[in-house]
Amino acid sequence: MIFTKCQKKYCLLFFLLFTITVPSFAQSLKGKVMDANTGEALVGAVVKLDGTSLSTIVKLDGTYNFSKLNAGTYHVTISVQGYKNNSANTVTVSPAGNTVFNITAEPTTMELSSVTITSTSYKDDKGARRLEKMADPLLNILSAKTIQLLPDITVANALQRVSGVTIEKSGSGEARYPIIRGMEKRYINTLVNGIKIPSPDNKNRFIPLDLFPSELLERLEVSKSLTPSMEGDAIGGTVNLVMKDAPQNKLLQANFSMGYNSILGSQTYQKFDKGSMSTSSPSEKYGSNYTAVPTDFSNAHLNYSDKKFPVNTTFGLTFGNRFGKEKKFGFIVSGSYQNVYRGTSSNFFLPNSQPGLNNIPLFSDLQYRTYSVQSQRIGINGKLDYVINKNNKITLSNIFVRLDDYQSRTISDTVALNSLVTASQRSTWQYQSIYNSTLTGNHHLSNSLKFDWNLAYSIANNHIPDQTEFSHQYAIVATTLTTDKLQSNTHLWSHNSDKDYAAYLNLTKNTRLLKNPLELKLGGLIRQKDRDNFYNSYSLSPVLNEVYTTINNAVFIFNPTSAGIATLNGNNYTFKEKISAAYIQAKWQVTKKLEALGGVRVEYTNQSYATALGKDVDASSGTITYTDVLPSLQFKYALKKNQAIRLAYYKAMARPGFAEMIPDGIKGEYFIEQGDPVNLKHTLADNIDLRYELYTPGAGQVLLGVFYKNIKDPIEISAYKPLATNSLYLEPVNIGTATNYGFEAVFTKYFGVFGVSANYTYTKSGITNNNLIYSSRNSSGQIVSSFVSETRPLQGQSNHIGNLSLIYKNPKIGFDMQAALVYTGERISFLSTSLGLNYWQSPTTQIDFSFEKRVVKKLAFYGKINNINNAPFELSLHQSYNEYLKTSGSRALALQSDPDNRIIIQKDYYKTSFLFGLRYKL
Amino acid sequence: MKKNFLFLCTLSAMALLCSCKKIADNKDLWKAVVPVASPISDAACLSGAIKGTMLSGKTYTVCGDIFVNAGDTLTIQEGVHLNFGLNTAAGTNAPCGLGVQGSLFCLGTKDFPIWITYPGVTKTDQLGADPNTDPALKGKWTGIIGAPSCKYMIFKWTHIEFGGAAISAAMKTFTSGSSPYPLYFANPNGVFVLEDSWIYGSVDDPWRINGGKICVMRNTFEKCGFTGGEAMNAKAGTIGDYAYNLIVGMATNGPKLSNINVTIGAPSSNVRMYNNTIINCGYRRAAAGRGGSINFEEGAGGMAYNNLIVNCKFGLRIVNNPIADTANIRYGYNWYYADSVSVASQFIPSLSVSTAISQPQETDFPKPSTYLPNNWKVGDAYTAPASIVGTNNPLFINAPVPLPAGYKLADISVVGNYNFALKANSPCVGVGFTGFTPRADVPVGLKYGATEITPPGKDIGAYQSNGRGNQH
Repeated sequence: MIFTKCQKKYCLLFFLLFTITVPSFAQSLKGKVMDANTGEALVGAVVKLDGTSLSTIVKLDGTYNFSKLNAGTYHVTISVQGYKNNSANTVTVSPAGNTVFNITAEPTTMELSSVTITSTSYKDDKGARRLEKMADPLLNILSAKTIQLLPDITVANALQRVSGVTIEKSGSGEARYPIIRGMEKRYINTLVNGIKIPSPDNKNRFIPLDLFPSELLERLEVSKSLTPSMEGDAIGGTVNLVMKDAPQNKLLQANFSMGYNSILGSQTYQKFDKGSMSTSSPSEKYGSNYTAVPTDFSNAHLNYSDKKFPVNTTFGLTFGNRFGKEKKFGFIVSGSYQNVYRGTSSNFFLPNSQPGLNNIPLFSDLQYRTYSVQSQRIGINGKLDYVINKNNKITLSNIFVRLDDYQSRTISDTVALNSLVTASQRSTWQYQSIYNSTLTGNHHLSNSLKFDWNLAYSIANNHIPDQTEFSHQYAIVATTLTTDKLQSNTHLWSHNSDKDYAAYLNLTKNTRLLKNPLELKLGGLIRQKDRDNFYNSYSLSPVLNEVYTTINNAVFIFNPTSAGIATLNGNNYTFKEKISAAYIQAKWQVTKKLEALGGVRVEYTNQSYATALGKDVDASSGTITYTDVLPSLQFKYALKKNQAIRLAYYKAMARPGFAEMIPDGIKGEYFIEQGDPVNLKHTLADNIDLRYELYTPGAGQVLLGVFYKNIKDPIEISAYKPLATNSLYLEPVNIGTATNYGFEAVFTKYFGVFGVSANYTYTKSGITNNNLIYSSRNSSGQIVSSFVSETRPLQGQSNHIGNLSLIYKNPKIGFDMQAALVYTGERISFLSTSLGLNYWQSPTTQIDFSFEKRVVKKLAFYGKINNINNAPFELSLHQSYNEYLKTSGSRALALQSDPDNRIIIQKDYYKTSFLFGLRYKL
Repeated sequence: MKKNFLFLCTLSAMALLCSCKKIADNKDLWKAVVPVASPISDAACLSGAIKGTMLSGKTYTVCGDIFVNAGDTLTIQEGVHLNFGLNTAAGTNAPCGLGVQGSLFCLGTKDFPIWITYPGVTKTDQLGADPNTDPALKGKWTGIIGAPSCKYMIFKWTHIEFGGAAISAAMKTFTSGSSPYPLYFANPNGVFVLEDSWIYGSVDDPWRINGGKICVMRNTFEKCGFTGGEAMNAKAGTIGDYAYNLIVGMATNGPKLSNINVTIGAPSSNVRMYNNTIINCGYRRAAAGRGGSINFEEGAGGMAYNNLIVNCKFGLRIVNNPIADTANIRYGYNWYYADSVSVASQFIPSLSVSTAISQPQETDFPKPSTYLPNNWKVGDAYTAPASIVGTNNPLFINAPVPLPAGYKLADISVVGNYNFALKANSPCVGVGFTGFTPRADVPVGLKYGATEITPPGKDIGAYQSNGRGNQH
C-alpha cells in the first residue's frame, strides 16, 4: 500500500540523530521554524534536542529558544502536524554566546492513486429499487448487499452513500449523525424495524448511528416525505434500520477481519486502565450531603501507556432457519463485534468570548489536541416469527447494541492572556446501549380488512463514570519567577436512561371509490417515555504553588473543604413525555395512471420535567403540551410503466431536545451547553417535493427532484455569552422562519461488470437573525455595542453535496470492488451571536475503497479502506486573516491557507484506516 | 374522471386549510417562590428573605442563606455584628451568604464600624504563615452576592472577613453560576460604594463586579485570594473611581479592569485608579504572566496615577491580547520599589512574559530611562541594573521595606502592626499629579452614595500628609 508509507511520515519529522557534547557554560540556541514555502511561522511545533531531555515549543512569533546550553553539536528534531522531513538539522552551538539557527519544514502533500471500478446488476439492489418504486413516501434504500460491499462498518458511515445525506462527525472524528438535504439531525427521526427507538444521548433525542454495526441490517431506508401513518417528527426525513428477517431456508454467515488505523503510526495510542475509575460518585455512595475528601478519588487512570500498533478486529455471525410443522417458526440471530482504535489530532484556536473592535475576532487560546479512542461495539439482532395461519402472523424482534468508548485526550493550550501553556489530560470511559423488544401482529380479518399492531419496549442507557481530567501550566518564556505549576483536577459522573413504552395500531380497509381501488387506513399510537439524567462533578485544587512533576506525585485538596459537597444542579432531572397520535389516510387510484394519497395526522405531546434545582428557581420544573395537526397529500402519476412523477405535500414537526428544555448547562467539548424552557418552542414545517423517477433494467435508476420547505421556529444552536460570566455558552434558539429548497439528482447505471452510482443535491436555505452584536467606536471615542441583522443558511446546510461510486462486480470470478467519493460543501457548524463570526466547516471530499473476492466456494476475502485522501475537518470564520493580523493585539495563527477570505480556527486529521477479513457463507 | 378530480380538489383544499396555523406551545413552568420577607430580629437566628433595619450595636446570627428581595431594602446600622454560621436551618454544614436582589446599605462609622464575618476563627497573621492552612483563604461563609436587579450596595466603615465559600444553588440563580466572592455586584446601572472598609481573606477575588457605577475609596484589602484574586476585579461596563486603598498580599493584582461581557447599551469600562498603596501582590497566583499591581485588560480604559507599588510581581500592565482600550488610558506618576533585580525587571511588563504593552512613563519613579536598556522597545523584556534594587524607598512609618531578612516576598500579606503612612521626609510627599479630577459617577450622600469622593492627592500612595486619604 503506497498510502501507508507516505502517511506514516505524516506527523513526526526527525531532524537528526546523534549528539556530541562539550562541557561549557550558558550558551543559547534560538531561531525560527517556518513553512518552507510560505515562510509562515509554525507556532506550537515541538523542538527537541536529540540525546538530551531538552525540548521547547515554537512561540507565537515563530521562534524557539534554548538557554543555558553547553557548547557543542546538536541535532534538532521538529514535530508538527502536516509537515515532513528536511535535511538541515545539525547545528554547532559556539561557546561565544548566542547561536541562531532557522529551520524550515516542507508541508506533506498527499499522493493519490486513482482506482477504477464498476458493477453489474444484483438482485438485492433490484429489490431495493422495486421497493423505492412502490413506496408511498419518497424513499431511498441501501440493500444489505450494497451495505456489505460499502467501505463502512457502521450505519452512520453507510448513510452518507444515500442521496442528499451528509454526516456529522463526533469530536473524535467518528461519523455519528445524518443531515438530510440540509436538515440537521434534530429534524430526522430514527426507527428500527419501523419502531421509533430512544436515544442514549445525554441531551437529545437523535440517535448516535455509530452504535449500529451496519452488517445487522437487511436494508437501510431513508424517507424524505411523510404519509399520515408515519410519525410526524421528521421534517428532514426518517431513517429506518430494517434488521435481518428470519430466512426461508437455513442461513449461516460468519466474517472476521483485522485492520489498522494509520494515524496510530505517527501518533501514539494512549491507553489507560479503567480499573481505577469508580462506577459511582461519592454522593451516590454516601448521600448528597456527603462532603467528599481527596482520598475518595483516584487519578491512577491518568497514567497512560503507549500501545504500539493497535489492531482493529471485527467479527460477525448470523444464523437463521425455519422449523416446526409447515415451518411455522422462523428465527434469526445475528451478532456483531467490532473493536476499533482511532486517533485524531486537532489544532484549535479558541476565539475570545467577545470579539474586538469592529468584530474582528481575538483568540484567547491556541490548542493542540490529540485523541486516542478505542471503540468496542456489540450488536445483537434476534427475530422470531410464528405463522399461525395464512392470515395471522406474530413476530418478536429484539435488538441490542452497546458501544464502549475509551478515550484519552491531551491538550496543549497556549493561553494568550497569560503567556503560558496549559497542558491537560483527560480519560473518559463511556458506555451506551439501546435495547428494543417489539411484538408485532399481522392479521387479515377478512379479504379486505387488515389489522396490525406493535407493542414495543425500549431502553437506552448512557454512562460516563469518573471522567477525570487534570492540567498543569508552565510559562512559554521561563523566568526565575516561573515554574511548571499543577492546576485543577476534576472528576465527573454522569449517566442517563430513557425508557420507552409504545403501542401502535393500524387498520387497513381495501375498497373502491367511484369504481377505482381505495385503501383506507386509520390508526394511532401511544408512547410513554421516562428519562432521567444524573450529573455530578467535583473539582479539586492543587496545594498552593505546587510544582508539577507527575500525576502520581500530585496532591489535590478541596478548597474550601465545602467544595467537596456536590451541589446537584439542573442537570439532574427527570423528563416524561407522552405522545398520542391518530391518523386517517386514504390511497386512491384516481385514474389508471394517477394515484392520490392523502390524510391527516394529529399528534398530542405532553412533556413534564423536574430538575434538582430548588423551588426558588424559575422553570425548575414544568409541563409543556401542544397538539399538531399534520396533513399530507401526495400524487403519483405513472408516465410509463418504468417512469413516474410524484408530487408530495406534508406537514411535519420537530420537538426540542430534552436538555434543551432544562434551565441549566453541561460543559460540552468546547462550550457550556444550556437549555431554555421559557422561550424555546417546537418547530413546524410545510414541505413540498416533486420528483421524476425512471427505472431502467438491472437496478438502474434516474431520480430528479426539487423540494421546498418552509420552517417555522427552527431551532438553532447559538453561541452566546450570559451576562455576568466570561464563558461562551451554546443555547438553542428559535429564529423566525426559515426556508430550505433545492434540487436532487440520482443516477445509477451498470455497463456489464462496471457500474456508476452518483447523486447530487443542491440545497439553499435562508434565515435572518436581527439580534447580532456588533462592536464599534462611537463619535466620542468610546467602544459601544449594538444590534445588527444578518441573513445566512441554516446550520448544517451545504449548498452542494454529492456522491460518486464506481463499482465493479463480477459474480463469475466472485470479485467486487467499489471506490466511493463523498463531497460535502461548506456549511455552518455552529453560530455566534456576534456579526460575521459563525463557524463554518470547510468543504470535504473523502475517498473510500472496498473490495470482496471469493477465495473458495463459500469463503470470500474482503477489505475496506477508509479516508484514503486523509480529508481534514476544518473550521473557519468568514473574515480576512490578513485584516485580522493588522489589528493591534492580534497574534499570528498557523494553518492559514486562504488568508484573504478566511481565518481557519480548527483543523483535524484522522488519516486512513484499513480493514481486511474473511467472510464465510453457508 | 372529472368527478374524481373534483373530489380530489376538495380533499386538497381541506388539507391545506388545516395547515395554515401553528398551534402554540402551552407551558406551565414553575415560578420561583419569592419568600415573604420577614422583619429582622436578633432574638432568633436569621434565614430566608429579610427586609428592614439591623439596629445599631446589636448582634445578628445567620443560620441559612438570607435574601433581600427585589424592591426591598436592608439597612445595617453602625456597630452591628452580623455573624454568618452554618446552614443549620437546612440541617446541613453548608456555608451561608446574603443574596441581594433589592438594595443594601451598610452604614458603619469610624467609631462604630460594622463587622460581617464568620465568628470564632483565629487569624494566623505571623510572617510566613502557610497559605494552604490559612483560614483567611478557606471561605468560611459565602459572601454578599448582588443580583443584576440590585440597585444599591453601599458599604461604609465595614469589616468583611473570611468570605468566599461555595455558593448555594439558590443563590447561583441570580449570579449566572459565578464563583463565590465576599462581594459581588452586577448591575451596570446600579451604584456600588465601598469606603473606609476592610476586606480580610477570600478564596478568589474579594470583590468582583460585572458592571456598575463605583466609588471605592480609602479601604484596606488584606490577604485575599488563594491562587488568584484581586482587590478589584471589574468587568462589563464598570465606571468610577478607585483611590486611596491600601492593598497588601493579594494573590494576583490590586485593581484589575476589563470590559469583557459588556451588555448592549452599557458604557465601556473606565475607572480612574489613583493614590493606591499596593504591597507585595501577585505571589500566590499560579499563572506565570499574571498578577502584580494594576491591570487594564480587554477593552478597558481609565487612568492610573500616583500609585505606590512596592515589591509587586509586575508593574502596571496594559494587556495586548485581548487588547485594552489604549486610546482611552492615561497613566504616570506611579512609584515603584523593588528588593530584587527580578522584580525590578518587571516594573514594565513585557509581551513575552505577560502579554503586556505598557508604555514607559518618564513621570514614574524611578524614571524608566534610568533602568531600561538603550534599544529597548515597548513590549520587550529587559533585565534591570542592580543599582535600581532598594532605591526609592518610600519611607513608610513602619513597613517590611526593605523585605525583612529570612522572608520571601509572598510572606507579606497583612497590615498587622505595620503603618504604611509616609514619614514626613518621604520622597513620595508632594510629588503626585493633581491635574485631573475623579470621574465621580456615583452621587455624594450619607446613605445613597459616597460620603466623600476624595480628589487626587499630591503625596504618592494612599496616605496623605494633609490628613485626607486613607483613614485606617
